[in-house]
Amino acid sequence: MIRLSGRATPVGLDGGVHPGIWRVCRADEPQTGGALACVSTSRDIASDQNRIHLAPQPGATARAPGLQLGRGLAHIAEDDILRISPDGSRINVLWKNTAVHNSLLLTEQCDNYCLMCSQPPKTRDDTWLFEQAKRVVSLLPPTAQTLGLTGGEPTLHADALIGLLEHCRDTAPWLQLHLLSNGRRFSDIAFSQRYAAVGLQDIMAGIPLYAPEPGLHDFIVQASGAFEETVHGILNLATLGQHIELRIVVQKHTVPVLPELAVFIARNLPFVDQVALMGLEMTGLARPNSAEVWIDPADYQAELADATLTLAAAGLVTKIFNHQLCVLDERLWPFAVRSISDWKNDYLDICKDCSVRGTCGGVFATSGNRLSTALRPIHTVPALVTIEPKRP
Amino acid sequence: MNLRLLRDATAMPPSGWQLLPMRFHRFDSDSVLLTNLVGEHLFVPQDQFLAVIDGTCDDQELLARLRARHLIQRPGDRLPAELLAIKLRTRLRHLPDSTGLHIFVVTLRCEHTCRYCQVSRQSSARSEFDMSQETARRALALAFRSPSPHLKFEFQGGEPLLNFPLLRWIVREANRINQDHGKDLAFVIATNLALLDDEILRFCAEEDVHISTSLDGPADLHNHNRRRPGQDSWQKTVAGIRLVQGRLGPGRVSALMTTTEASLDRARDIIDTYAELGLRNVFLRPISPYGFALRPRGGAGYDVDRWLRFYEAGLDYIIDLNRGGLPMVESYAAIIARKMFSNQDPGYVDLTSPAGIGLGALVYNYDGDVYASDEGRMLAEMNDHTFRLGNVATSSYEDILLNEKLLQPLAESYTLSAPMCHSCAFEPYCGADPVFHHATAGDFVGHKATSAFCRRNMGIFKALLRRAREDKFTRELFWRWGQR
Amino acid sequence: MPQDPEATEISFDGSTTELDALQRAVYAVADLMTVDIRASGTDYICALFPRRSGLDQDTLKHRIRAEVTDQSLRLRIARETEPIRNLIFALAFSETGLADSGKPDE
Repeated sequence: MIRLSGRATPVGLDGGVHPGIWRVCRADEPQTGGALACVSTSRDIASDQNRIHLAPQPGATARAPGLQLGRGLAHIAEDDILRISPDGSRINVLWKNTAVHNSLLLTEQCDNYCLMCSQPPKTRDDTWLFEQAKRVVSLLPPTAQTLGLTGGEPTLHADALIGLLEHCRDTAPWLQLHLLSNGRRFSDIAFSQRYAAVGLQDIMAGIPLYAPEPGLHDFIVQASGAFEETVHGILNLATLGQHIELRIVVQKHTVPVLPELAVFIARNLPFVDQVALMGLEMTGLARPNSAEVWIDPADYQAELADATLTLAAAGLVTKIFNHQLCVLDERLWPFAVRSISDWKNDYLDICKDCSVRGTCGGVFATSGNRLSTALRPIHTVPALVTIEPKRP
Repeated sequence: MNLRLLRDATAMPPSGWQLLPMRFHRFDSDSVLLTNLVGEHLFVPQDQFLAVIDGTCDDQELLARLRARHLIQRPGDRLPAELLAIKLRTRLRHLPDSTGLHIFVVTLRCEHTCRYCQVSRQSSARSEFDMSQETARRALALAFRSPSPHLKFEFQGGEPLLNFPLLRWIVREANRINQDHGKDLAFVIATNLALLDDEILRFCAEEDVHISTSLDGPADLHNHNRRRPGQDSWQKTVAGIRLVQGRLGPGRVSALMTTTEASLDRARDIIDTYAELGLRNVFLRPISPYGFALRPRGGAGYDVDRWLRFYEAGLDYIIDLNRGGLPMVESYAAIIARKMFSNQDPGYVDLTSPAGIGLGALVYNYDGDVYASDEGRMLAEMNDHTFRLGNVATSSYEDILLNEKLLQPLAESYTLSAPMCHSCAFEPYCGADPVFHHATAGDFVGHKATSAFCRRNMGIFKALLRRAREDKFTRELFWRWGQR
Repeated sequence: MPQDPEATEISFDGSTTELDALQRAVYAVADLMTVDIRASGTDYICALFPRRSGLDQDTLKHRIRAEVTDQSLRLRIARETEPIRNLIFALAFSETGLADSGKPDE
């Protein structure tokens, strides 16, 4: 697990740190005057800590103010993008260049209140996050490939979101964007049309759907009318030719209806680009609600297999996220994606001897004591070990 | 834990739901089958059925399932109507794409004398029963008037290979004409394989022509039905199948059985024969009523229930073969599974509504007469020209497709307005067969209470649904068949 | 001409049974029996003629009663669902498609 925020000790800092968003330069980078802010790293032998230098150019580090990085931030390296607090004492890593997945938080506000929400909603105004996101996008290295846009519910701030998407289109058109949204705002056709009109090359909306009918879905997301709006939104996006991913968190309430939900998707929403069946992350609201949502994955393999194979047979690209290989029914291994972000994952001691550890995503670091009883090292490698989801 | 929305708040109170368009069938003593507007089904316990209709049902899990399957909705819901409309539109979207199948009867000559053949038995020598190139040219012109982006040309006879030169000409000419149309063309020869030679095989390989043949089952059954000088039809058929598989590839030859009384106890033997030859599709067909005098009891001429026992025995055997790892498919079940488990139309002209006559298939006889279906042509052999729509020499495309002789049976047999059909729970899986009912009952609709067509199909629908309900492997198998 | 076997009679209360349902039921049971319907006051008197031997009175009566019940139910469901059925067909064949957020004509 990688820490994404931590302490720093300013060295030679006069006044505050401006601007707030910085990218770590590459050693061979030419002069970066103008809009780019840039830090370079060095190692301080005396304190055995890494240090970053807040210099507009790579060459001018000697007299630049520096920040000594706390131990957890020793991983900061080239092309990472950081937010540094004005007094230089806190650093947040907003973009980790070596990570498989990077996401930008756009707001903590949300109009759903999912029982297992990993980012519990807050009501305070945080639209500055959109501005921060724009800044990050401007600083992205040309090697950046994918970017997640998350919340809360990003579409709550329509103008800011459209503005950000247009900014992405203009400054980083090659980016593969993944927008997480509950989809409800897309039921407003005018908004959906604005979204489509941005004209991004490669953007997919990841929209959760937890049941094949409103009663259970609305209960899980704790909002009346959510199902109708969400599915309406999905239909609008489809009509406008937009890419859609359906996300299903496998938890205690969704397990019994998983097979029926798969049939519902196959019959009613067969046009979606992919369906993601996701393991539960015991963080955020999932912790206080754990009695309501936790179920040992070993106990739902039948339903998961039923749903996955139903969807796959119907020609839908189906992926299973956040499940350890030892816990998964072997028939489902071709669908498993190594998906737990580097900064969230962990392996157990028992995983040391596992022959498929390299292709397994491990467990969520936040799992606490909610771990499957089926976790165990696999000693023999079965004939088929692949992390590529199968397209039927 | 503080919940904003309680589970109870999302429950459905008494009379708290509205019915969506639904049809029901009393499936067995314990359960009622419900189907929605687009053929999605759900079983409801007998003792809950009336409560669902009346608004008094308190089984929240059942109500949730009914809601998910678009059989009920809450007042104020807008989504179910929208989704049903999309699904309905999807199911109907191929309607404007007439006509997909064009059957060319290139000759009536044949060297077999099969017991059940409805085609005149003409000896192999007389070429006055061959289609002329001029007739073929005109027929092609008509075929290419079809809006359908896919055209399948099927060569029949007699034995079509007896007029191979014309057959070859038609294929090449069709491809040439198609350069201006860009349609997707497919060619099939329905042949007994006895006359296959190198030249024909090379031609089939070059032009991507598929072979369809008759294989009624094991040798004794097949030869009993299909008589040929030398009594070696089965041997020649099997040799021919192996030859085509070897030279063109295993997927290039398929077989159809014709069912007779003698077949009814031999389901496993028939299927084993297919399996041994590497044929993965078996079509357990009904006994055809054509070629015989009008029959009593709705046109069966044989005991429909006995045929259903044959069918179910064959179906069960095929399911077991699948369990053992051999992926055999029963073709009729697969067609129905597509209607049950998807919104896609299987495009099978004999089980569709509006009927497949004219809209799904057109038959061009050797003499240029145009028929609305293969069976319509067989009736003409018995001097019943009800389904003759015209002649390629004298009729335009509009003459044929706007002909009252076509429109009237289409309209009268349409299942959504036919008595009993329109309120039948199985209607989304079924079809209209005006030719069958005309031949057996004297009108295009028939009387479904006494129709062998209805009895047979209902028996099959129930057989499939019962098995899918009782066995998980079977349910998954039928689901996969339906998605192909 | 074979003789008509003896008819069984059964009556339906006209105030609770629609003639439409009765006629549909008679049509549907034609494989087992043919039926004469006669109106008598507020009742419908039905004479049931079995199609073949071996069908006893009780079987015929149960069959037609059950069928009348079911046909009545079908008529009721059809009536209740006719508005939404029309709406669905209208939506399915509308030209505006579903990218239209305006309420469909009710």
